Amino acid sequence: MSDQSQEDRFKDERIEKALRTALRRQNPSEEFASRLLTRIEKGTQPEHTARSWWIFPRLGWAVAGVMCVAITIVSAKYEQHRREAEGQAARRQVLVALRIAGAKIQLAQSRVQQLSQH
Amino acid sequence: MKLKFALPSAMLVLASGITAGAQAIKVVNVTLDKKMLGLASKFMDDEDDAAGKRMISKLNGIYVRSLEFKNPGEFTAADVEPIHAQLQGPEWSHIVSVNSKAEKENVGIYIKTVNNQTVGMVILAEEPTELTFVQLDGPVNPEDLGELSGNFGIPKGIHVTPANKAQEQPKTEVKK
Repeated sequence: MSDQSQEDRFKDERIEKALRTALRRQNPSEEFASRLLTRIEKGTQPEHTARSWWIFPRLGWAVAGVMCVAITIVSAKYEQHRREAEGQAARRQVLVALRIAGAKIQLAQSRVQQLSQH
Repeated sequence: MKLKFALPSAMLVLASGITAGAQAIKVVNVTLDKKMLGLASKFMDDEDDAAGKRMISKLNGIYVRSLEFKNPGEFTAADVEPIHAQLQGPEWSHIVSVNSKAEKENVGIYIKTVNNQTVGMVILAEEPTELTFVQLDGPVNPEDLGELSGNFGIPKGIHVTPANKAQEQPKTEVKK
């Protein structure tokens, strides 16, 4: 066996030993059991929901974007509807004004005609 | 410029005063400034509206106060006198005057001219149970009313003497 292969073997052993040390079975701390039991008694969940938006930041931005577009469209539609209602009301008022003016001109004309007939 | 706007406003105040003091059973109050007329004209697309649309495109405002009363005599000549007084100014020409004692009706049509240009028209009609004030503020061409004839209750073939001719000819006056 060459020196090179022996050196490789030692290296592998060192790595394996380091891994065993890192992944060795450990008992939980004494507080862990009491913390877990307390949480079960309270029926609480780990504080995870508040973080869910931050876990998917792109989804959050997409929802915000869709909401902005929806609000803009609804506002524009509402403004268009309001302007149309205002315009139709103004049109009705113009027609009322012209009809009243017309009726009074007609009244004057009919009186003039009555005179000319006599 | 100030006078141009001051007079219509003052007249409106007086017309509004009549509204407040009278016991009218029905009140029609139309106030349309140039902005509102512009908005209205955008929605006047019907064929029947064409003449009216052309007319209002030149106007600065339309103001109407029409009061209907239950019984005759609920308003007096004194109520209308302030408006008559304002229409006596040199810029105003009284082109049509109908005074019917039998029917107890007085109808007056006035036009306002500045530099031989018609810049306004007022129709004031006093009937036993109805008092009507109509003001068209702006360059009303009396021939425009001819265009409107047959529409809006305006009889066909109506002709109002143009402003420059009104000064030469006597006004139409009917007294019965």
